[in-house]
Formats: sequence, structure tokens, C-alpha cells
Amino acid sequence: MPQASEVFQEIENRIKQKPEKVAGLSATYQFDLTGESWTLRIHDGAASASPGPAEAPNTTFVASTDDWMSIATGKLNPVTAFMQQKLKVKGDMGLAMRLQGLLQ
Amino acid sequence: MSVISRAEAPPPATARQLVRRGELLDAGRRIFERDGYHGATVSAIVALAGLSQGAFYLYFGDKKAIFSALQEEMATLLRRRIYWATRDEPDPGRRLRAGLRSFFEFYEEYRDYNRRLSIEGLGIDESFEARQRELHETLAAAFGPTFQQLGIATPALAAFGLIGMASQLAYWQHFHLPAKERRTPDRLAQACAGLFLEGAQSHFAEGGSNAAGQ
Repeated sequence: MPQASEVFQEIENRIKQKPEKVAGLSATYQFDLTGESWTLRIHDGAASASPGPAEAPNTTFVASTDDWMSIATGKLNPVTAFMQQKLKVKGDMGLAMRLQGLLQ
Repeated sequence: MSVISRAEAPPPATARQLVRRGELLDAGRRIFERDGYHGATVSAIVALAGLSQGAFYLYFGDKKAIFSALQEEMATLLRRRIYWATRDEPDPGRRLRAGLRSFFEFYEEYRDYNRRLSIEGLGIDESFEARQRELHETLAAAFGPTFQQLGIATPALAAFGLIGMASQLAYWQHFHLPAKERRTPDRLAQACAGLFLEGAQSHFAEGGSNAAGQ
């Protein structure tokens, strides 16, 4: 299974390749995983991912690293993970739904 | 045949809406697996989900809309699996086998859904066929670099041939073979890759090795 850093790098790359996917989106996402946090900032059609928590995230995802990686790699359906409380979402749910499209 | 679907409902805006929609999708998949698309009803889906008919129409316009959402969700899962399973494999034979293994694992995990989709999916409506074609075109494009490395001159033809072979093998394996004769996804991927790369004379041996990634 890839590392969490590879998944965030991948999201960044996909947005670079297809900035139209984030047209009009301005958001800071925080991911609280097992023993690590990541921040993904999307603004003006560009994205940057970095390790560590965000100062004022719009949406925070909380999951174990294993479950998050399973979601990112298609082993676990994100909605099922949410229903089973393997994935928790704090903050703006609409922005959380937008991120779903970026993982495809 | 064309079925007009009601207007698409807005995406969930709250955690509660996301859960409700997820419960309906989960119930929908089970009902479609059990009764098929034509036999499934909104009443059966909401009964299984423990929700009201009114709740259903907050999230989906009709039966076609929930099936479409399910088809999209499952296609996303499959694409992600194959992408991440193959992304970092430099050897084209091993990459091919890793992609096939992901496909067979996915088929095994959602065997009844895949069976319904393969039997009924293309006959339901043009839009279902279009979504399935889009998935296959995405997979075919993703296999392109692998086929180039393997020296295959007709990558699109090869890709659709491979997808057809893998789909039929998975269906035969899960619905026509006795359980004790079924291969694991990895063994099936090995056999399928061998057939594809070496032809019908490939000597795939149970427990042995072949050129497709050993």
C-alpha cells in the first residue's frame, strides 16, 4: 500500500493537470490520521499539500491511516467508512463532498 | 429503450444527509443484486433501508437515478483500485497482472452486483451503456503505456480484448464453476495474463509460474 504522502502528492498532481476540477473552490482541508496530520490547501485552481495541521481548516477528516489509505486506493467506500464511523468529518460537509471528486 | 430520469437531487450538505444517502445506496445495491434492475422497486429499497418513500426522493429522482449513482460509485472504486495497484510497478508484465488481480478482487467482493451489471446493465438504457463504455475507455487508456512497453501494436484493440476476457473469466469463475474449483484473484490474474501475453498455448500451471509476472 502506498504512503499517505504519495496520496496527497497525487491529489496535488491531478489538480495541476486538471485545474478545472477545482474551479471556484477555495478550501483548506485537514486530515488527522494515526500519529500524523496533513493539510491540503486549494485556491485559485492550485493545490498544495503539506504535512502538519492547518491553522483554520474548513473541513477536517479524522481516520486511521490504514482506513484513509483504503479509501484513497478504492479498497473502502468513503460513504461506507463514514457510516461505520471509520471516517469522521468536521466542518463544511459540502467541501468534503467536493474532495470526493478529486480522489477519482 | 430510453428511460427518462427525474431531475438529479442536490448532493448531501450535512452528515445526516450523507448517511441517509449512503443507507439508500447500500440498500439499493442489495435489492438490485437480489431482484435485478427490472425487478427492483423503490418500495423494496426504502423498506430495506428502513426509510420512507419521501426520504428516497430527497436523494434520488427515481430507480434509474439510484442505479446510476451506484454504477458511478462502483466504477470509481474499481478505477482507484487498479490505478494504485499498478502505479509503481515498473515491469509491464507484473503491472498487467497487478491490474488484473485488482479487477478480480473487485469482482469477487461485489460478485452479485457485477453479475447483474454484466447481464442486465447494457440492456437497461443508453446512459448505463455509456457509463460502462466510459469506464472501459478509461481502463483501456490506462493500460496503453503497459501495452506499448510490451510491444503491442494495437493497444486499443488489445485493451478491449483484455477487458472482455477478464470480465467473462470472472463471470464464469464465480457463477459456473463449483466453489472448490475457483481460483483466487491472484491465480486468475496469472492465468488471464498468461493467456493474453502468450496465447492459448501458455502453460499456466496451478501453483507454478509463467511469464506474466513471476
